[in-house]
Parts: sequence; C-alpha cells; structure tokens
Amino acid sequence: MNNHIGISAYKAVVNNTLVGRQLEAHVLLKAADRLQMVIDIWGSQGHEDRLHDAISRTQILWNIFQDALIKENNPIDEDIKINVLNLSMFIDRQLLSTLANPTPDRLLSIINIHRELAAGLNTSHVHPTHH
Amino acid sequence: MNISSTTSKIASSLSSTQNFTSTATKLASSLSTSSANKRLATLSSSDPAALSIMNKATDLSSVRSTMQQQIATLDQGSNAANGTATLLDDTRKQTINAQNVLDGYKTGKYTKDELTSVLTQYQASYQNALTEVDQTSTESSFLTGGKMTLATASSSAYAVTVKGGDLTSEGLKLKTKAAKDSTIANEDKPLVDQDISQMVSAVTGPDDTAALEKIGKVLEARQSAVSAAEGTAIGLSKSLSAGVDTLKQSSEGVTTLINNLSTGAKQARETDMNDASASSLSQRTSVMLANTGASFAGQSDMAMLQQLFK
Repeated sequence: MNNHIGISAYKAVVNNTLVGRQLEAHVLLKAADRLQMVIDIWGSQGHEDRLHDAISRTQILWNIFQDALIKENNPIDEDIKINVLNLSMFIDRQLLSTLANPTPDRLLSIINIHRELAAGLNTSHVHPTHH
Repeated sequence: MNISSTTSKIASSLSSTQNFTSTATKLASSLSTSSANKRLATLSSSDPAALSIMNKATDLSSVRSTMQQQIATLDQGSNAANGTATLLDDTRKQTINAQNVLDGYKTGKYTKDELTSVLTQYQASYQNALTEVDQTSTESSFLTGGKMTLATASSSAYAVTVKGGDLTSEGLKLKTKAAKDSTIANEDKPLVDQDISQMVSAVTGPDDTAALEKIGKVLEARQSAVSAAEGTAIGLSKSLSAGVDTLKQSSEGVTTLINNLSTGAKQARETDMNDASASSLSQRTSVMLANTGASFAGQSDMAMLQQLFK
C-alpha cells in the first residue's frame, strides 16, 4: 500500500463514520476547499473542469440540504430553517451567476458561508439531535 | 461560456461516471415543479419583508374593491339625484302652470272643470315628486353610510387617504331632505301639505276669493319649496359625480400602489441578500447552530452526503 492509497482509504473511513452535524460540517468544508482550490489556481490548466466540478458538487450539496429542510417533518428550528433556505437561494444565484460569468468573487462569498455554517455545526453547546 | 452549455455539462457529469445516479435523481426531484413551488412557498412565507409587503398589497386590493363598489353606488346615486332634479324641475313648471290656470280661472279664461282637472293632475304629480325626493334622501343616507365605511377601510389600510372633496365635507349632506324638512318645519307646512284637488272642489266660483287665495298661497309655497329642492338635487348630483371622479382617481392610485408593492415584494426577494447581508446571516445562523443540536438533513440524506466528497 503506498501513501496515496493509504490517505484515500483513511478519508473514506472518516467519511463513512461521520454522521449528522459533523458530516454536514465536513461536506460544507470540503465543498469550500474545492471552491477555494479553483480560486487559488484560477485560470490554470484544467480550470474549467475544476470549476464545473466544484460548482456541481456544491449545487448537489445544497439541493440535498434544501430538499431536507423543506420536509414538513424536519424538526430543525424554524428560524434556522428559514435562514439556511435563504442562504441556499443566495448560493444558488451565486453559483449560476458564476457559471454564466465566471469570476472568483462570487465563490468567495459561498466559501465564507460554508465555513461559518460548518463552524456552527462543529460547535455544539447541546447534545446533538437529528431526524 | 454560457448557461445552457454549462448546465448541460453539469447534467452530464451528474448522470455519468461519478456514481451520482441516486443524487442526480434526488436533484431532479428537488428541481421538479411541485418541489420548486413548495420551496418557493416556503421561502415566501419565510421572507418577512416580502410577506409583509404582499399582505399590504392584498389589503389594498380589498380597499380598492370597496372603492370600486362605492364608485358604482355613488354613480347610481348621482344619476338618481339628477333624475330627481329633472322631476322637480318639471314639478316646478307644473306649479307655475297651475298658478296660471288659477289666475285664468279668476278672469274667466278657464272653467271650473278645467281648473279642477289641471289642479287634480298637478296634485298627483306633486305627490309623485315628494315620493321621489324621499327616495333620493334615503339613497343619500345610504351613500353617506357607505362613505363612512370606505373611510374606515381606507384609514386602516396604510393611510390611503380618499380625498373626497365634497365626499368628505358638505357634499353628501342630505340637502334635499333638509330642504324638504325646512319647508315642512316652517309656517307654510299646513299649506304645502294641503290636497289641492280637495281644496278646488270647495271653490264656489271665480269670485270665491278666500278659497282661491288659499290655493294660490299653497302653489306659491310649493313653487318655492320645489325650486329649493331642485337646486339641492342638482348640487347633490354634482357632488356625487365629483365624488365618483375622486374615487376613481384614488382607485387608480391604489392600483399603482399595489403594483409598486408587488414589484417591491419581488425585489425584496430577489435583491434582499447581497454578499454583506449573506455573510451576516451566515454568522448569525452559525451561532444559532452552535446553540442547538440540530442538523439540516435526515438520516436518509447522510448516505448521499457521504458519497458527495468521497
């Protein structure tokens, strides 16, 4: 087993063992990392594929969140639900705008939101619950 | 790069090699019409500013509907008052004609039968006119009540002031009824209320000065009363018509306001969030998340999340 395989295997184990808030924070940060990587090497070889990959994964992530949040039996606090849904709409627009007119600025605001939400999810003052 | 090509690319990547089949299905489901509508409804209800604006627009629509009903009612009242004025004008002319026939009877120009016929017909016409005035007065009372209802609705709905001019001042006063009441209240009341058709039957001849003078006084009193009532009816008709015009303008103003509010609500949804406000909202939400144990997604979504950045 070389180092690369070993790291990938480790990441897979981490992914499969995380649940609930920790998993959500994890994927938010992973998406932010992908977007950050696109910005860091903006315009370099493979840029377009990286951009599309990062955007499409972020879109999927937020569609999963949106779909979960609008479920009537989702017990999450109503204020949080409203805030996150509004943020998701903002992110939707930013992602589509970036596709239409690629600039790194819009991605920065998304990265910021991801990191803020992940910080909140990783900092629980109460026992975690999920449905 | 354009949206259609990039969207196709995303769709292609979703459904091809990256084991996102279930995710793509989920994505397609979440983007379906019903789901989108549901999400839109959720967001609409979750946007206090937009919801507040739309509620105002809805209330104003109700006010506008009330206005339009009032316009129709006032228009009807104006037409009725105008009709009454025409009738009173005819009655006034008939009163003058009756006075002329009475004078002609005194000089022998007309016979007793002719005098009786003319005065009997005149009495009937006069009674009809009085009935018409009563109806107009009743309608005016109704219109006054309607105006008050409208004023209440308007004041409660975001200070949409209906500057009714005569509507809000003297215009809707029941001048017609007031004129009639004042006539009845004065010393001529016994005269104007006399039945001339009966009085004329008591006349013994052209030289029955007392009886003829009494009829003449009745006709004179009536002519004065009818002229006053006619002027009032004309004024009432004009006032109501002016009120109709004013209400129409106000209604158009409300329509503009509703349109502006609808546009505002749309803009509130579309532009309410910018980088700064999104950042602020995400910070607040982060704190809220830290203070709760809640997660966004359910257990069934976790598998997809685990796959997303595997």
